[in-house]
Amino acid sequence: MADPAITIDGLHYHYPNTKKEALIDANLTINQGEFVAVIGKTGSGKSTLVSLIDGLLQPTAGRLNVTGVEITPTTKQAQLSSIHHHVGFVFQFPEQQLFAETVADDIAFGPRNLGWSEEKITASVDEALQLVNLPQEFKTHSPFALSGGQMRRVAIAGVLATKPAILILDEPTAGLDNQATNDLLKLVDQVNQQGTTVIMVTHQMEQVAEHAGRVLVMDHGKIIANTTPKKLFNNGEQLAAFSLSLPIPVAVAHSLKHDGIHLQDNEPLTMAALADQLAMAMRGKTDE
Amino acid sequence: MAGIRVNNLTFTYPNQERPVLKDINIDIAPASWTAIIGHNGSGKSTLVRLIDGLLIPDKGTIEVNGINVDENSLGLIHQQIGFVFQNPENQFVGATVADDVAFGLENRRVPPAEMKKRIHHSLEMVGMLDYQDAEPVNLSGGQKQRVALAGVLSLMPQVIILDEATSMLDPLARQEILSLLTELRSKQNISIISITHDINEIELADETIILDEARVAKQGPTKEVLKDGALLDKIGVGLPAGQQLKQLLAQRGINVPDNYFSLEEIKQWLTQQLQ
Repeated sequence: MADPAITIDGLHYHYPNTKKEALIDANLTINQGEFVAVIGKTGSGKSTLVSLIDGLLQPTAGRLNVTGVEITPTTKQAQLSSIHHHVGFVFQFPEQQLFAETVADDIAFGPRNLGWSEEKITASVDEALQLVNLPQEFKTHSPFALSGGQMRRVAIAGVLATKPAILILDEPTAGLDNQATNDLLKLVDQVNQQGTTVIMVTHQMEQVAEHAGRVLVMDHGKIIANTTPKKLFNNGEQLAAFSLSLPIPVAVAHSLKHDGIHLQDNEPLTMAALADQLAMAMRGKTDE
Repeated sequence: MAGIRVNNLTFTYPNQERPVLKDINIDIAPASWTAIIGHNGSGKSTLVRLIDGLLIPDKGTIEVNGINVDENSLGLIHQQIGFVFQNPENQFVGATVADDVAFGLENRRVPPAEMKKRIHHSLEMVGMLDYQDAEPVNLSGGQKQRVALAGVLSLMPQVIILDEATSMLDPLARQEILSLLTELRSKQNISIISITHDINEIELADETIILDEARVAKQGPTKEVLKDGALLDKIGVGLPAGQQLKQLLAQRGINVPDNYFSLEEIKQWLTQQLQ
């Protein structure tokens, strides 16, 4: 059994001056090295949950433990901030937060804030650039002269440069074209395979199916499902009730099932898996 | 001559050697929906800015509903065309939703009584009448884009240009905006030009134009254009789901006949084969 990276017990959060709680009695354990997707409608509590894990918000009740740092409603600010040594947070449209004159300075901002030596900072910038697949000569360029997809990779390099044990991404592919989306998800997979725990907020069911090992569904401030993508997509009606859709390959399999055609695996998570199932069914048909 | 005609258009940005658009010829019919797609930097946004007269071509001409686009006709052109941009955050000037819609009307010096009517009507069209006194900051991304659209509609344009207007929205909000546009178009005589990467949005268009390497790489009925999987992949839109599945099936020795393209069509074919 892997070590838990995050444990959450009876966690609540209530934004000041609002009527309803944004997060209600969340209980959760995430193990080191997992890839967890968080889905749910806008306003369902996804961002609140990940902001608590990043120490950006302090719980109003309950407790959480993030890589050994214990957080309760009475935890001091310094303790809360120490989470940033372990957690990297890629916000929505992170390229909007680029600010420095050069790509290298922008990426170095996080490590510098953590008080690292110049030597260590330089090495981490080089490594992060390589990780996001941008050439080293970009270091001296202005981040604002780059394309949208490249700017986003610079912003993500800035987070990766701090070598977080936990990487949180809030809709990292929003607004990117297909190619840039695939490149970015490949990068996230790679970071995850190197042992980083990944928590990704997304609206794209195909991304949940293809990348996550586990999925949390949030609705009205509650975690209403904590399961594997396969099990979640097994129940299309329940998903529709949450205003969520099926990933395309699962939708095709379910639609065929509706027409009386049963594939061996009714929840193929990728197009390739669907094609495998269909090929198997076709062969079965010709053998009859 | 109604519609939009672009003839032999070439445009180069100042201090650049290569034209971003070269020898472009396009016809857009009145009351049609046209998708313009292409890589980032392929000249999509430049093209629609030229159509709106915000940029002046090096060579060639543009006509919008019979009006030649040049420095003298800008006022007339801007009355014909409304823009909705990508980022809903950057489009707000008013303190309330109604104020925001009023901004464009005030600029046009529309009389107050008429203005009130138009604000009411345009907010009603986008389903945001209940929010007229709300502050824009309290709206969701989809609601903000609906208000931006109301601002454009209040000016009663002939052509609405959407420059990646749904790309920052979540799938539900995107669907909301696209249904709204579909509905608007069925009720009004409006042309829609949408710059997009989203395959669902492309599929709504009657016609699709692909820009690649400064030229029109393909234009025609959307259904036909979407058959060119290799080109779609090249420009970053990616292969439509139907063609992806078709390719994967071919790799497994199952050849879906040529005339089945969309996912729906392939599903029908599979059902026939497997029943």
